[in-house]
Amino acid sequence: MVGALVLHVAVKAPEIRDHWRRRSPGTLALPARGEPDRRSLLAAVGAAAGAVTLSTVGQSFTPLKGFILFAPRHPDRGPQGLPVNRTAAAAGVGRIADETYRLVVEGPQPYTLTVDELRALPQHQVELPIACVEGWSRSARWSGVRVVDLLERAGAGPDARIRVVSLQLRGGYRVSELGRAHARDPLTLLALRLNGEELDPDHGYPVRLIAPNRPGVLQTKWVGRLEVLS
Amino acid sequence: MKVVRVLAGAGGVALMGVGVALLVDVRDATGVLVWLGGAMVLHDVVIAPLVLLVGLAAVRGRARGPVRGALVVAGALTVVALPALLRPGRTANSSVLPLDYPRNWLLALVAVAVAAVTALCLAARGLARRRRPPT
Repeated sequence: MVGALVLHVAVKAPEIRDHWRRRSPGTLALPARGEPDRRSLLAAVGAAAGAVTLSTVGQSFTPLKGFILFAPRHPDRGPQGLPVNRTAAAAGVGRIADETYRLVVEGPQPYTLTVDELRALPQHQVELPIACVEGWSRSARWSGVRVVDLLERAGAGPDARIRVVSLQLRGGYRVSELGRAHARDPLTLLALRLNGEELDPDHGYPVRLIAPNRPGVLQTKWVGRLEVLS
Repeated sequence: MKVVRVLAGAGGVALMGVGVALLVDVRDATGVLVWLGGAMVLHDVVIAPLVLLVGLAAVRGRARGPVRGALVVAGALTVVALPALLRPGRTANSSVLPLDYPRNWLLALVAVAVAAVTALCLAARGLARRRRPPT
């Protein structure tokens, strides 16, 4: 469609130029004031596009969130002020109990961690968005354990990829993979806290994946297992 | 100019080629045709004639510019609001469609009406000033 548009503009360029020039015949033949004319049509279409943009764009461009009227999401609406696609109830996990939870890391040197052990590891803070392919996105402050630290403890090689497996029982995207660049990125965390608070169950309590430049559905929640892939 | 036109035209054809190449991978092309053709038919056969008819029939007289503009803006906003206004049943969770959309729709229509009346008043004042003989 873009190609057809470009071709059209290329073929019609002289006519388009004549039409918009101040001294072109088309402009000189403009109707008198009050009659239908190009300028008022352009103004109306521009106003409509502007109004639609202003009343919806705030769901992904938060500075304009005050103007949201029709967007299907509001960046401040949701548990802990962050929208959610799949809740803990919908995923069939509910509130995961600290006593039973274990993070299993499989690799050359496998190990498991409890929630308290995860909390005791060095914590890092990142500012990253949940960017949903549905069209909304919202930045938040996450803190937790760097995935690269967990990998090194598991004896993973420098080119290792990892598979992240959720404890969720229902719904797609239970498993996601992190390529080498994502896995070693210091911004990639297993997050334990969101904006200074413990994660809400709907945001993946006790830990969720948060990595840069990744669609929201791949920011796996309720992470139960990391598998080092060679 | 000519070189730019030829280059742009070639680029356009190349892009269309990419589109066709991508279409080869689509197993069932009827869906694509219905989607693309449906949008065209909906626009050319339903929406455009309706807008023209309403513009012709409902708006007459000197002040039609702002009134037509207001109708275009209000119509576009209504089309965008329609899915949220007609929400079918319960949503997946409370962060989906969390706003009072009927209220927001009415607010938007009021804002458009206020803008149109303001534009009309300004236009009327401009007209009166021009009619007054120069002093």
